Amino acid sequence: MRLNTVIESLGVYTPEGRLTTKELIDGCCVKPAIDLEDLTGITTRPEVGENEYAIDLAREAVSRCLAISRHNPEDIDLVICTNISRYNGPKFKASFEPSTAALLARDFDFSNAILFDEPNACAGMFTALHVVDAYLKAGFIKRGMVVSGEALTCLARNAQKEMKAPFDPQLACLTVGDAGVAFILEQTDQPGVGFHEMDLFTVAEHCDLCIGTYSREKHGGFVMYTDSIKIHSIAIGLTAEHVGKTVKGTPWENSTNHHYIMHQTGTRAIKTTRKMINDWVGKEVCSKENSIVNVVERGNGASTAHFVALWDKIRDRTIQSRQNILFAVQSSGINLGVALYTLDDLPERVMNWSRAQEHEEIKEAV
Amino acid sequence: MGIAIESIGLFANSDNSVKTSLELCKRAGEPCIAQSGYKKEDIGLVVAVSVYRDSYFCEPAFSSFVQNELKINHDKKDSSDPKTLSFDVLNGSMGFLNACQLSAAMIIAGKTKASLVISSDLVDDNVSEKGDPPGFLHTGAAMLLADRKNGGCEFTSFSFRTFAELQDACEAYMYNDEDRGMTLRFRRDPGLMEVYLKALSQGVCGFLEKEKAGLDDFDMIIPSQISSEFITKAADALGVKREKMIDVTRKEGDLFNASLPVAMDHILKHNLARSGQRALIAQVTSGIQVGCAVYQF
Repeated sequence: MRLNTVIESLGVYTPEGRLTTKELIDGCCVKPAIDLEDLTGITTRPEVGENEYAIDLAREAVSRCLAISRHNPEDIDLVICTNISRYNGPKFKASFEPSTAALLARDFDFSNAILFDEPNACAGMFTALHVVDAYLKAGFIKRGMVVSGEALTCLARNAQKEMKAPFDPQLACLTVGDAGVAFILEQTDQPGVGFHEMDLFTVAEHCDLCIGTYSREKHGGFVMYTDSIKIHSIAIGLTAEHVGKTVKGTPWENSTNHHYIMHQTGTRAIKTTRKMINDWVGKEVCSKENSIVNVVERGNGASTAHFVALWDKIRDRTIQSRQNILFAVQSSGINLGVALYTLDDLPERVMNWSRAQEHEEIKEAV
Repeated sequence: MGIAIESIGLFANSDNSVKTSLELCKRAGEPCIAQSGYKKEDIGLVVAVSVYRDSYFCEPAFSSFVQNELKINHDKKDSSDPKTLSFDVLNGSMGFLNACQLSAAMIIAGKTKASLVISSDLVDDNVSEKGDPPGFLHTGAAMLLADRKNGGCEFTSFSFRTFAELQDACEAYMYNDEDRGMTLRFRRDPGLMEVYLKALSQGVCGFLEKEKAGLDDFDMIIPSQISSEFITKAADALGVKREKMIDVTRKEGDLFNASLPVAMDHILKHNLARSGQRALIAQVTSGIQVGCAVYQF
């Protein structure tokens, strides 16, 4: 019997700091020509503290993931880190070696695990999920962990200084938010649960539409240049066809027990994608009600986006155990992907952990 | 396991005329694909393992540039097959071996027919800090991995181990220098070679225990091609004759991620392995990590 891969545990950490879109725009040397808040819906996003870095976000997420999991660090056979940002210290220190996965082995006993980084822009965590699924199906491992600590708001801070035109290629940097995510994958023999299908591919002829590199300016740091209009137009069109083809003529087409989690770039982009999916299928499969949107208060969390959305919507009880999720993946590259998933009791376990955390916090406050 | 090296492509860049990592990938990737029995459409996976690449891009994956340059299912207009997924695997000089195992998993799981693993680490002297040059040889190396042919060669096992307590011995990072702007720094302890040797020795011992094998069960050992001196010391640390070690090091520098493909190419081109012989691949990198694998000819 071919077993499905299931998310055994999920841990999300968002830093306490908040950075509003208004504050960001007010701080730009050259103001954007568009109303960014109106276009993206993003009002605020989490921002790392002064001495908080990508590795700290990753570490916190791994701790939470392990707290919810049935497993210990030494039970994990494979750890893949997918963060684009590797800001691990002051003066924009960005680590090249050791890999982030190897750095985490200092804090958690991953000494016998296979460790490597696998960045793939905003599709990184899904690509790693696809890879762990292969390791599980090949029988190489019993369980794997995927981790990402995205400290991205320094891109926004750099864009404030470097944007030179109202329609500047660094405009998309103003949409990002910081977060850490970790999840554990293993196989399940529970019928009907887990990933039923996943498909990812790269349309590489558009690889230059969004580029992240180091800043050549004296203030240093990293920058991202994006042709936002072109990349959105291509990615949304391809996503509509990919999602449409995946659900049309299957039980997912008429399911009422499901959610769509797309890449969280902005409310208008999600709305356009929804419409184009429905046009492709010829009926409303992706509605305002079943589309998950958390970008308003989280910003674009890059590789963490889908899983921060899943975490948030489990915690506000929008997503519950045994429900179905269609994940639609989009990133620079251009990478596209679709995955169909049925939850086990993960939402209940996340809620139990959340309640215990709240209880602890109240006890500490008293 | 049933996954084999289908073909290898190398570009030595002896005169240092190629100045970009993307061009190095192209020069290695094209002959690698041409020599294989596979068409570009069959390559469902492109994995770039270069830690040090043009402009130190962090987005998108460098592999998407490689996929585009080599024109491997790069211009899809929809999600129909054939198609290719590209991403990077970054792990110091262990990336190539990690990517070989990953390719094996993806092929066995039925996610691709063939996988192209490619490396081209290139350090930009204008960005790196003076005084502690990394000494990487700017080489392009590509390997196409696919299902083993009847009775042919194959990888039979992989194992990785991390010695996090030794991690401080080396690191590489970018930081903002007040005078120079963003600067790449390589920091290495003077005793790094000893640290590598200690980890390698322990890592290989652990692997042999797990495999219930001894070093005598292997006909050759493929170590990291850091330097000839390192390989001599690695032979001593492992307690094997120097002749058993494959040494394709260049006096100009460390082959880094190209270590495995250059060594394998040497073995295959010079018919150094007979059918049924086994090579122990034993690599070491920052972290400190040791990776072992067995390749049966």
